[in-house]
Amino acid sequence: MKDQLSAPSIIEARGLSMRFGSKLVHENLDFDVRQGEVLAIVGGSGSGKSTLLREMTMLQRPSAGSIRMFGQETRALSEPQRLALRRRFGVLFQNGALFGGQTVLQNIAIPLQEHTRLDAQVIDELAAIKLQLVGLEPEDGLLYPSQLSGGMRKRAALARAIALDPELLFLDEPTSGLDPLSADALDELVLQLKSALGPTIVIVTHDMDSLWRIADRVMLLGEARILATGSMQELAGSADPAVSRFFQGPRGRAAMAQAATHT
Amino acid sequence: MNTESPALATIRLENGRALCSGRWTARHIVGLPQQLAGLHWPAGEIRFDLGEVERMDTAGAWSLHRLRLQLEKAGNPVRLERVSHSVSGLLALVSRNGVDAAQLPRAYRPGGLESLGRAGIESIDNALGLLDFIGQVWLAGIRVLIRPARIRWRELAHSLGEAGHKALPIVGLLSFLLGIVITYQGGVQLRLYGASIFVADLVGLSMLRELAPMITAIIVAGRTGSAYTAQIGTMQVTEEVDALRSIGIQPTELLVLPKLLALVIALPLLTVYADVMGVLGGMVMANMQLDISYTTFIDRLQLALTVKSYLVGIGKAPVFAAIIAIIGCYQGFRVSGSAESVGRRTTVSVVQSILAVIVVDAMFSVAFSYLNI
Repeated sequence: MKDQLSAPSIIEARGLSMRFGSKLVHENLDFDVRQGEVLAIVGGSGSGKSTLLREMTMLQRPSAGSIRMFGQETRALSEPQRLALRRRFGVLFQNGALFGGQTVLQNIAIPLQEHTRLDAQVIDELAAIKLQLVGLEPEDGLLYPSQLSGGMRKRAALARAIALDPELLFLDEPTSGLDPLSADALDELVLQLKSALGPTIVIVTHDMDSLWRIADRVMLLGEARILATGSMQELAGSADPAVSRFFQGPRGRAAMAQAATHT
Repeated sequence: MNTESPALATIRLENGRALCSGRWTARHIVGLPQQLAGLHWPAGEIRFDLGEVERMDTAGAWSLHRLRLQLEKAGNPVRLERVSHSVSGLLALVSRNGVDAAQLPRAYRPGGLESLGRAGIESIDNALGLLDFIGQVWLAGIRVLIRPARIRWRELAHSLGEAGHKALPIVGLLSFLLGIVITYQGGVQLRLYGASIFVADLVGLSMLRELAPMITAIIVAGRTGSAYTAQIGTMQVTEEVDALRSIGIQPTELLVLPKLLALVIALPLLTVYADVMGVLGGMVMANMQLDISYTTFIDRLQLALTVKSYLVGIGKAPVFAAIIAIIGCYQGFRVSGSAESVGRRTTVSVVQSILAVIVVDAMFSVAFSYLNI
């Protein structure tokens, strides 16, 4: 929030377009993700938020345009270079995407087993640290994903995403499907992780409360382009009808009122 | 000590001070245990100088923390110097959340006798569940028979197409090849006795009575039985089966009966097709290898085969079909929780139905010979 305008960009997207067949998802997007910030991507259903996230995480190739991540052009990378880049970011998928055949602790240990040469014992200990860091108990590590509640699943998936202490963390709708208390707790957790490990965070959400609490900057997608970028205060006060429609509905107002009483 | 790469985490002792440098991150701390093994810690307070540490992550902080705990346990107080703000945050984090691997809860592993008992109970449970399921399917079948308007024609037609029509190429190809192989192997022997013409008896009888029904049932178990398990299993994982129940539709009625009925209709038809293709294969091979003309072959076939041998083969097919459909669907309903469970149940379904088909075929053979059929 402080001097992020001067912070270097971790991701620079230029002229990014995506189309599936004749369906245009977005066209000519330019944006930066700056080091240390929490950038929230918002937009209505079908506005291409998740597609954009998949492009940034190199799971999907954009139809046109370029994405530079940590200063490297992602299109031009060889497979080993991509792998090296992938180690530097973590992704929390919308439904957790925990591997069903393995326990929570094993799930968290997978990135460590794949990408480091540490002892099995140290890996277990590190996985247990991450488990407790996301607010789960060591006993929970023995459970299988199908035995977890929705909130616990998101936490476990978050623990796997931060297993390698990534510099950049992508969160796809971290609070969707959670009750308000769990959602609040998850927002709180994201803030704690941020202060403890200091990653840059890109978060896709439509949870208004989350936006007020954790986003430094918000990017609103719609009509296949970026409608607006700015802090929550700026966007909520925007006079642009396309923007204000999104932020000044009943939910937006309620969240704003709540944010005002908390600060 | 540290000659490979300047980025690796290193620790060395100088005048009773431990100097830490390099990157203390998960990928760069691999050499630390060896380095530590070569260090002789002096008595008394040890000061760690962290000023040269380039970067630290949780893994590095945890190794440092564990070292510190070890030293303190051995009676050496530890003091950290030149600790940056972020490093002290990480150290606090790991000391709050760290657990020794020995104290991590372990999954309970049952002993040999207990696993045996569990496996026994599981298979009894499985068998009882299967009986229960067969009962449910019967009841659903009777309900539908009383009110035939409830037959799901669309599902039936769809299943019939999937299980029957689309299986034609593979069933045809395999039984044709089987006919060729039998003729070739049998023809070589029969020719020695100058009895080449009996190859028609050989192919005709073995195909119609045993091989065509069996090979068709095995193909269908692998092709369709597995698909039934996977489909119902996936619906189970995504709660679609529960959704059906909550709407008031019996899953057995919608998901099992049409499949069962479709397979009971399709498998005998496929068997007839396999009969034809198998004998055709034999005929082609007999012509090529043994110089038996098609007409001679067919004449001989008419003498060798009776309607009975044809019906004995076809009659087994509906039983095989019921076995495959019931086991396939039952294993589908036993899926619980995860995608992995779908895979496991599908394997079980195919193995069990092929096994059951072969066992039941053997029982048929015994019964037929007892009855002199």
